[in-house]
Amino acid sequence: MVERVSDIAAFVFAHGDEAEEIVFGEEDIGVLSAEENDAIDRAHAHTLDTIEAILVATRDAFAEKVKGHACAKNLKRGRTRRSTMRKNRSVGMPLVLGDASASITMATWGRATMGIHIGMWTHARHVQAVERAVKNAHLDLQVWQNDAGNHFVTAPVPVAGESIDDVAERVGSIMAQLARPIVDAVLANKKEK
Amino acid sequence: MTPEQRAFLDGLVARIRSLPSVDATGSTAERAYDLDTVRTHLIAPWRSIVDRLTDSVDAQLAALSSDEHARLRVLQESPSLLAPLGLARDEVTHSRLLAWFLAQKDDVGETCRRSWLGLVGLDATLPTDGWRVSRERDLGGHGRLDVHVEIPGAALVYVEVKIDAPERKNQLADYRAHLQAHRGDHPHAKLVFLTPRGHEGTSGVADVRLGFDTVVARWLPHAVGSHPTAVYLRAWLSALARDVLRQTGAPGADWSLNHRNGALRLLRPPGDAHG
Repeated sequence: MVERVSDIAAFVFAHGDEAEEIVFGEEDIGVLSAEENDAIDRAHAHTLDTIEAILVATRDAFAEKVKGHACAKNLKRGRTRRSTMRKNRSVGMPLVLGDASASITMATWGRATMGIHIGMWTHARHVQAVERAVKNAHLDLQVWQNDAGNHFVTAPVPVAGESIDDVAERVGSIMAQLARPIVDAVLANKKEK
Repeated sequence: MTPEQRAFLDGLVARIRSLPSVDATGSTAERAYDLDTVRTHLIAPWRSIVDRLTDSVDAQLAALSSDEHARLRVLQESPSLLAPLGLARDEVTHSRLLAWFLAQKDDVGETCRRSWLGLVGLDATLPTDGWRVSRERDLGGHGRLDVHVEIPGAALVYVEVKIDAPERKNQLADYRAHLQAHRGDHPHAKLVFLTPRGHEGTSGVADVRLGFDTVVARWLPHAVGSHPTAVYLRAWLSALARDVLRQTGAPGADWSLNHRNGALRLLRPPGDAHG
């Protein structure tokens, strides 16, 4: 199991947009040498192992941080398989069944570098209540919303030498800060309706 | 636990702990992946690799046929109708649009229907007389299905769409049970799980894992005409490519290598289905 971010994984994260084509691309790049293609396969396996380790550790760190809160109630339902995490470079977890879920995704999403995107999906009927709750929570986070009104925080990708536990700690902490007011708002909104 | 079992477990734990650590910066991990090879043959020549790949992609774009150029322009120039409405990744909206295009009675609708049959693993020449499409169909205790397609006496297709939301527990299994119980005299019955890139459902019981990437690639040729349905189809497919697949950039923007190669992939239709 990977315990620390290598210089190779950090390089791939920092060159996300290009890496999407070179390291994560599904087609063989015809213009490369056999040695380069072999190196790509090795970098791909190593980076995916690193991503999987980060996703698993962050999911666990998040669960630990929201212990006792309503967020924690459904976390163990529908747990994403490791093979799915590797394929999608993402892990999802239910927060309020059918009404709210959290996800961690390591992707570029059109940016030059990769990010660790923490997403909070809520059903459309809760979006306004959740927007108010996040605003009123005065979180010390750079929260952004997608077109559907769902809330995200993009954490910087790990740097070389950072331990997986440290990454999980910082990302899990952001997730917990964001999830608590959102889940509270969803549950209150459900009660009202 | 007996003392013997405890001793066995303690011994096992001690043995596991004594194994060499597979740390990414440690020697075991370095050997396992041979990261030196990666440093020499990937990291050091990275710029050269990017340049060669960029040249290759640009050469392929320059060699596109006029039909392919027309399709590329759809992706490069069509504005998204959904983003200003805050619906760019809204599953219900995309389900409604899919159902709407499948139900159109004009030539564009017919070509979409024919290629759709192939995408979901059915014979594209099936007679489509009486073809019925409905959306958000209530399946009683089995949930609410996004898109329901019926060709009387020929085929029944259930489509569940997911973009950002996770699958409800046993959702596909519930739909599968309903489909089996209600297939009646339809010789073909298909459960389709439609996601951005053909992901497998948690319960893994869909007949077909279909990606929006495949839908875009297959339907792009139908979106280049001047028929009103084609004009609307352009806007939808372009929005899917940009907002759901993140495969292309905004209209008029300087596309990155990733976007240019992504567009190339959409211009070359992949296989019909992943599953």
